[in-house]
Amino acid sequence: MFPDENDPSVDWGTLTCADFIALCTDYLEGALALDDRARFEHHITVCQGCDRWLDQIRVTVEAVGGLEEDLVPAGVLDGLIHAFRDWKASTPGALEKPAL
Amino acid sequence: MTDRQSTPQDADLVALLRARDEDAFRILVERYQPTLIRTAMTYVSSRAVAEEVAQETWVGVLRGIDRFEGRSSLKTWLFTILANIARTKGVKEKRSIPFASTGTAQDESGDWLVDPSRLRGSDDPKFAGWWSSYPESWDGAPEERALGNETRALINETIDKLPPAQREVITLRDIDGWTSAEVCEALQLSEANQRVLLHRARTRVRNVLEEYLRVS
Ligand SMILES: [Zn+2]
Repeated sequence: MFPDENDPSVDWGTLTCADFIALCTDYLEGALALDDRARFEHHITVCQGCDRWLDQIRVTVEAVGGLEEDLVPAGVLDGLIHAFRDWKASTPGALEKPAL
Repeated sequence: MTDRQSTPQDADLVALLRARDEDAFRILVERYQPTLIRTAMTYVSSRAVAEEVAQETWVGVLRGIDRFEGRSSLKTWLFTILANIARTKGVKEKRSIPFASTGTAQDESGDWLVDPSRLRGSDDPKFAGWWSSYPESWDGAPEERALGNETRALINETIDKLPPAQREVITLRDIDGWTSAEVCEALQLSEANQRVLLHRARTRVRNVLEEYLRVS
C-alpha cells in the first residue's frame, strides 16, 4: 500500500515527517490553508509512519474524551449552597420563575 | 424541580438562577467548578488558593447575576469574574502563553514532542526529517488495555502533569467538549496559541500512550 523509498517514480511531496507531526493539530482543527492541506494529505499516502501517527493522535483524542471531570466534593457544594441561600434571603430577585 | 437527566442550556439556568432557583445554581456549580479550579491554577500557585478563587467566583456570580445581560456567554462571564478575583490574590501575574508556532518540535519546557533520534538526519538528504523507524502500531494492544481503567488513570495523571495552560486547553476541548472559539474567548487566547497548546498537550498524551500500548 505504501511506496518503496527506492522507487524513483514516487512523488514524495514537499513535507517531511517532522513537518507532518507539527501540523497534525492544525489539520484536525481545519486550520490549514487548502494547499497545505493537500500537501498534508499527500504525505499520508506515501508515509506509513505518519499515517499511523495521525491515527494514534485520533485515538488519543478519543481516549481523552472518554475521561470525566471530577465531581465537586460534597463539602464544597454544601458551602456554596449555603452561600446561595444567604444570598436568596437577602436579595429580592425576579418574582416569576421562567419555564424551561 | 429541574430534570437532571436532560442537560439544560446555560441561558436557561441563568434565567432560573435570577429567579433564585437552587437547583439551577447546583447544576451550574457541578458543571463549571472543576473548570474554574483548573483555570484558577494557572493564575495562582496552590490548589488551596485556586479553590478559594473558584468559591469567590460563585459569590461574584450570585452578586452579579441580576445585572448579567447575557451579551457575553455565561462561560466568558464566569472566566472574567474568575480572572478579576485571581488578580486580587496577586500571586502569579503572568500566564505563560507560548509563541504561536506549531513548527517547533519542542514545547515550552524544552521537551521534544518527538524524539529527534527517531527521525533521519541530514546524512540522508533525500529523506532528512523523515522517520528512521516508524512508530509502532497500537493494533496489537488488547482492547481492554486501550480503554481500561489503568489507561484512563495514566491519561489523567499525564494531563495533571502538563504545564497549566496545556492542561487547561486539553481539558476544556477534549474532556469538556468546548469549541475552540469558546476556549479562546474564555481564556483570552488567539486561535493559533490555542492550537499550539492543544497540539503539545495531545502529542504528550499520545507519547505516554505509546509507551504504555507498545507491543512488546
Ligand atoms: Zn511521514
